[in-house]
Amino acid sequence: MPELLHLLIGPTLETLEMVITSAAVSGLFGTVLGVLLVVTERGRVLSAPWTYRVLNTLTNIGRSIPFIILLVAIIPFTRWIVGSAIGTRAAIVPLIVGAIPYVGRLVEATLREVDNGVIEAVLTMGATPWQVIRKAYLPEAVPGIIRAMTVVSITLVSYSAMAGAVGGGGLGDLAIRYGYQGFRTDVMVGTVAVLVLMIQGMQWSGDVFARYYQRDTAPALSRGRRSLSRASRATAAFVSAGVVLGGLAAGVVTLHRSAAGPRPLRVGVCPIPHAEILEHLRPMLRRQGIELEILPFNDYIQPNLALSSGDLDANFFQHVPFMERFNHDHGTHVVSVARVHIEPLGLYPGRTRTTARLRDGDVVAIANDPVNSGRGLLLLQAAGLIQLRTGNSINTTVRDIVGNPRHLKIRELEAAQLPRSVEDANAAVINTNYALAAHLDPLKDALFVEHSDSPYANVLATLPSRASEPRILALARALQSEDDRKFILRKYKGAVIPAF
Amino acid sequence: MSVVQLEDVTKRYRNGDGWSNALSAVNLSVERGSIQGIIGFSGAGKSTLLRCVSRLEKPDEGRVLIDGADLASATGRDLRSARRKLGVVFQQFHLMRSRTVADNIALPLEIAGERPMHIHSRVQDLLGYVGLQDKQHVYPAQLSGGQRQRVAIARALATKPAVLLTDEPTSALDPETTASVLDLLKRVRDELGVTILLITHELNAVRAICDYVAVLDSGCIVEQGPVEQVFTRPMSRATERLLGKDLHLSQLATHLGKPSDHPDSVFLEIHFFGADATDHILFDVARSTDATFSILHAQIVNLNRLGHGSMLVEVSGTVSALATVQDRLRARGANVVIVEPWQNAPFTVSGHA
Repeated sequence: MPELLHLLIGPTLETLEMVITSAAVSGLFGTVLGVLLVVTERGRVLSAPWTYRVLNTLTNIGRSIPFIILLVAIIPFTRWIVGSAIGTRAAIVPLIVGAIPYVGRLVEATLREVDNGVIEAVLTMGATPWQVIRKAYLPEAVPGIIRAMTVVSITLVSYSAMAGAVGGGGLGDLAIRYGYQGFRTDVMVGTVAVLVLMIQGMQWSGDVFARYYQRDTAPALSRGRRSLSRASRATAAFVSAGVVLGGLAAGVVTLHRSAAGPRPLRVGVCPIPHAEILEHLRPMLRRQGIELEILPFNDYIQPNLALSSGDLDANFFQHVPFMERFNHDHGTHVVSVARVHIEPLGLYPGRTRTTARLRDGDVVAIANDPVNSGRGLLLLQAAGLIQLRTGNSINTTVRDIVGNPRHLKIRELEAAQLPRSVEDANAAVINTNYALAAHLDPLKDALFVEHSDSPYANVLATLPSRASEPRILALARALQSEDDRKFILRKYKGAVIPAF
Repeated sequence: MSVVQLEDVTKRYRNGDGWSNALSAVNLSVERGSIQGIIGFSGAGKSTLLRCVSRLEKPDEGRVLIDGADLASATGRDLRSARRKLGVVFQQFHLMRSRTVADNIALPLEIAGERPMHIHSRVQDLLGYVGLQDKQHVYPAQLSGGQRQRVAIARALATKPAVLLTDEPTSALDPETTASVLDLLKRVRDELGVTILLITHELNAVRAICDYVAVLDSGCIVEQGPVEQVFTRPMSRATERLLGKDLHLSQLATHLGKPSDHPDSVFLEIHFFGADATDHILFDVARSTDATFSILHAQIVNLNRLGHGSMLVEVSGTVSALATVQDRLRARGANVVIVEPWQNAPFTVSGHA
């Protein structure tokens, strides 16, 4: 239980920081957008049909971009704003950009609800367009804007779950990494419980404030309802203050962390075993004056992109064939500094318990990224299940299958999903890191394991220009130390094999 | 000297392929310190006139002079300062629900950029004037309709306008509240000297407080003058319809159907004014002819401090006797209209086809 709480606190603060900051900033800009969408319309106080058309179209475009795409698409902008495309604050920028058109539309709808008669009454008083906005539209729409911001904040909580893609952390990322990929049901339940509490709190405070600003208490009911609302108003204010302070504290902690001492060495990793290996080496490196910042990623693309853009100092998640393929496809220049370990690929049983029982039409799942797909096919060939036209070349695809005596159906999936697929497939080829996270033991559970002379050793990688930096070299030495060898052998009992 | 001067105010609307006139060259001048009614059926152009005078819409032609400034042609800063000479009171009040009573009244002063100290004392004066000091901190949703309209009137008076433009100010109110709001408007004129334009479809409101009335029909002013003159000697069909409709006499006649027994009986609608209203004209006329009378309905109402008697009478007799009756009534100053109920379908009460 204490361990669970410990796991939950950091991501909870990260989620609060992301949601509160992005709700506040998008609330501001979105309200401006919403106001403009109303007042620039033909016949309104600042009638400007062309401006209206442009804003309307931009808003629709903004609303139609899926968040996960926006997250990646605006990376240069994010870097320009917060100086890095990786981390919690980097996740806040796309959250804001994604939420602004959403807030704009909601605020627009609210302002259109304001009685036009009131607006005309204010116009007959000789109000300027700015006065009409400030003295009539906005104050009359306050309850609606509070309701809109409640909806937006809750939506931002679920969007922030995708922040894991850029190493932003948060509760969603925790649930995916520990709960989903790591089969930690307690973490999953704990995360959901925290999220439910958070969202209940937001909805309730939003409702209380909106009702307070509604100002439509009927005279007969006023006394009872007002005193009730005063009590709940106090609580709502208390809860909101708590939430805001929590978010600010989280922000201060992040700032403090980034402000203290020299910049730590930022290394992008897969959670298992790479993060665990680095955690083990942290004290040794600290004694050498090197502080590590370990950033876990959920995919295989971002760590290399973040390295190339300078957001990471190094990464430790890939093997050389993958790296070369990636460099070729993306025009990057990532180089290997040190071979560390081999994670033998394994064929794991699904609905079918042994290789011999695989029969006509059975489904075998393999990874869908170019390198791991080819590696998986080579493993299936080594196990005698299929024949490949390309022999032992690593550049192999499912189209190269020339012999498939049992007519197996090969399904390609996201590598992280493979442990989950064993319930629906007859067998699955799973990378060791994901197998370990799912509590599969490559030595006991696998039907067939890659040979130990595999070319797929995982490496510490960086950019050529930094390959000879002292800190990188110190990290490489630590990864290839005797201490590390002992740790790997002891911890993974042969499921991960040192490659130095 | 006239404080409101409408000159050839014209407003057109697109209507299918062509254009139709909502207002056709409306001319009206209102003397300072008077209460001018503008009355008409719905669709006569009242709302368009209100929107053109308050410059919520720009007239296509003509001038709208309020205390010397032309609202129709002014723009920008000139328009905004000209607007402060005109306070507007709406049928649906249009108060801000997010502001208390006091803050609603303060709004025009804030917009005019007055200092907070001045705003506070002015608002307190106005609250006292409309009798809502005890309600200053409540929100409009907690007020009755009459109280809301008082707030709206106070708000319209905040910047000390020369003219108050009121749009159906009592049409959303019950009869008792209507009387108190009309009293307040009359006090505003009597005590503050503010000129009032009252746009309405309610004859009673005009009768109660207006000095002058203009009758609007199909976008034109068809008749205007002092209230007692226009209402006692209507010169236009529209005015007659307004008066008739108000008294419900033709509706009553329609209910009764065609005069029965006697083939030569007619329904007469008879109006008397001033001292005549209480005189025994009908008795005199009845005695001098051999026609028979039966009184179906009769009433006397107060019209700008003068009596206005009206009755619906069934008269039976020979054709010449009926003609004589009408002539003699007219000779005594009465206004006589033959009511033909079976042709009065437009005035049937809803629910009776």
